[in-house]
Amino acid sequence: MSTVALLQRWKDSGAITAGQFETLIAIVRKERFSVFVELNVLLYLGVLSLVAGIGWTINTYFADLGDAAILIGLTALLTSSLYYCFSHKPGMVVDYILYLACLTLAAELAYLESRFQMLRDHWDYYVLLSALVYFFFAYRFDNRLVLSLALSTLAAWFGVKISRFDLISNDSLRVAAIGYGLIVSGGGLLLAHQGIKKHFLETYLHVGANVLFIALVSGVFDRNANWAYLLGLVILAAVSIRAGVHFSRFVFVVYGTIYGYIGLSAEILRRLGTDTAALSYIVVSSTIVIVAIVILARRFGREE
Amino acid sequence: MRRYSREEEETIQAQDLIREWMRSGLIEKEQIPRLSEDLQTDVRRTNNFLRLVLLLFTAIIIGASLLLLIDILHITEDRARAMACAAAAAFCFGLAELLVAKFRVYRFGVEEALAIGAVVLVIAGVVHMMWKANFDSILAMALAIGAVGGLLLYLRFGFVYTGVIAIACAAMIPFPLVHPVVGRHLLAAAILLVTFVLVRGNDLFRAAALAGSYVVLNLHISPDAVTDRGGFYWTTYVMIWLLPVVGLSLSLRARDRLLMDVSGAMLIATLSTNKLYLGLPQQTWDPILFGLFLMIAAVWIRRWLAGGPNGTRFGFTAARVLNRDSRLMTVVSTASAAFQPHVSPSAPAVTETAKPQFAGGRSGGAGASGEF
Repeated sequence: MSTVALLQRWKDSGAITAGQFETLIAIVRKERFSVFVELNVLLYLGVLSLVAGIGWTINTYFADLGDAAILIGLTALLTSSLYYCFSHKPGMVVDYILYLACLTLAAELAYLESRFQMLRDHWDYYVLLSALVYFFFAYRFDNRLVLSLALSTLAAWFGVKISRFDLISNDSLRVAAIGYGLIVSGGGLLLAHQGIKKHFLETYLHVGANVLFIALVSGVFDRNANWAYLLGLVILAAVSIRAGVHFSRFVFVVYGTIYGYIGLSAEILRRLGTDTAALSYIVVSSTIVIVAIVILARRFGREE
Repeated sequence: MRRYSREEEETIQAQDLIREWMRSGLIEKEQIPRLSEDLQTDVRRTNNFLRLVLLLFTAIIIGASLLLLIDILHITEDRARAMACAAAAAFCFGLAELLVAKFRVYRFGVEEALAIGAVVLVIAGVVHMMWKANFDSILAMALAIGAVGGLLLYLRFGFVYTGVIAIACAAMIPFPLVHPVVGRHLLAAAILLVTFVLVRGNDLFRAAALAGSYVVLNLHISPDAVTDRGGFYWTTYVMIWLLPVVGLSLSLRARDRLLMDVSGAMLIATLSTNKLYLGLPQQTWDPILFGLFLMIAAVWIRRWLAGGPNGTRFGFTAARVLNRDSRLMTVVSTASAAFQPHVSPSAPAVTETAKPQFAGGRSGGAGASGEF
């Protein structure tokens, strides 16, 4: 039976109201067709292209344009973007103008330091400052895109900070990544617990979990690394799967299963001497994973 | 021929719709049990995340099992390996059939991996048989089997993505076989355009065929470099303008979202490659103008739509109607953390005459790219 016929039947039997029928039939017959996503994509691509063009132009013509012209231009773009955001109601356009303002701020700070070296060896504080400003804007304007920018900028600051130490090793980068992952996940949980923008929590957890998993898996792959990485990976995978099932957020079950399997298998396969043993392990372990997931799938059905 | 009847597919689609309507606040949660009474089906389904894990691990098992068999039985002859692949393909396909028949699984991941694995194993078997032939013949044969296999899986199990793979494989067959560049582009485009015209009732196939024909006709994004600015070159230039316009016109009339999105993407690609086509020099301000054009276009369309009665003009609205649009934007903005553009000043001092360094290559973690 077609969806239109079903809606008619539900309306006739009183399962849906006449108002609901009118709304739903308009959607099914495409008499009400939303281009919300398409307009968002146009704005996003537009901002990215604009900022890329500004960067290219500055890089190519900075000597001809002069510092004053570039800084005045960037400041004008930044202030006008911010003025627009603060003087209009939050909405689709404000979201992307704010994103433009954030990227312009980053460009301006980068230009200032490149030309005038005001902070010299401490230039990484520009990155930290940018991240803090982005966090403020993300919360002020309820903008998840800017929150993602803030999180990745904070990650960049962690990376730069670590690279300042004389002894840059994979281990120190991993520790920085683990520190970052814990701070982001913990910060997100804390803010959600305080009731501040609870809907941002998943963004924090996705970013934090992936960074933590990647750092731990890379530690497991490193033959010289500490065994604590494996222990940490197993615990994190178990927590991720448990929490994913409990809160019906199955993407975290996927993270726990795949990252956990990769890490554990790397350790076990390293100790298996022959191809036959290795292939047998893969067949048996994958079968166990499938059986476990099928049991889970039967319990939850299509629930997401 | 089909494993799932048309009625079952419609019922499953309706189940998905009522769940989406509930999430969007268009119907109440209490209404779901009553509506579900009319949507009873015996198929077993799972959510897309678990489906992905099941598909991945089933594929791993298929590959590892075959290699294990070859290892244990010491199969070294190409012909014997080809037979092993063929036998494994038959086994996989049979198992997929059995799972669907006995357990009534529907897009469960396992049966999908088994069915796709069967086609891949047939290709692997044929490659072993043709080992001594030239590479182009092997590639053409693999693409042909991929096309036929993908189509069969679509017809049997209704996997639309294997149908798209079938279209892509069929369109790529001329590339290893036809040596004049013009000939293979024309043949591939002809296959895709005929598919676009002939296929009815499947938006994804039409959109994929149109997108494919655009890719093979836009000589500045397709892999073959055509430097000769002859008749063929300028014909493709006309086509890269014509295809998006035709696609947009058809999609707006039919409210076909996939075709509309693909046509929009093609139009953006045409605008981006226009100067390359005409041989004009790229200017640094081109992306600025292009970005402004996109932003102004989006704002203008939004305002124009919002100015209509109930925020709608000709049935189109800029407002979010279904919750899935918001979920999609959430996923994209969260995932964007890994692809955010970063601008960091570099540590070394910059002389007055040196270029400023905008690349932040020393950043780390979460995909900070260091590119301006």
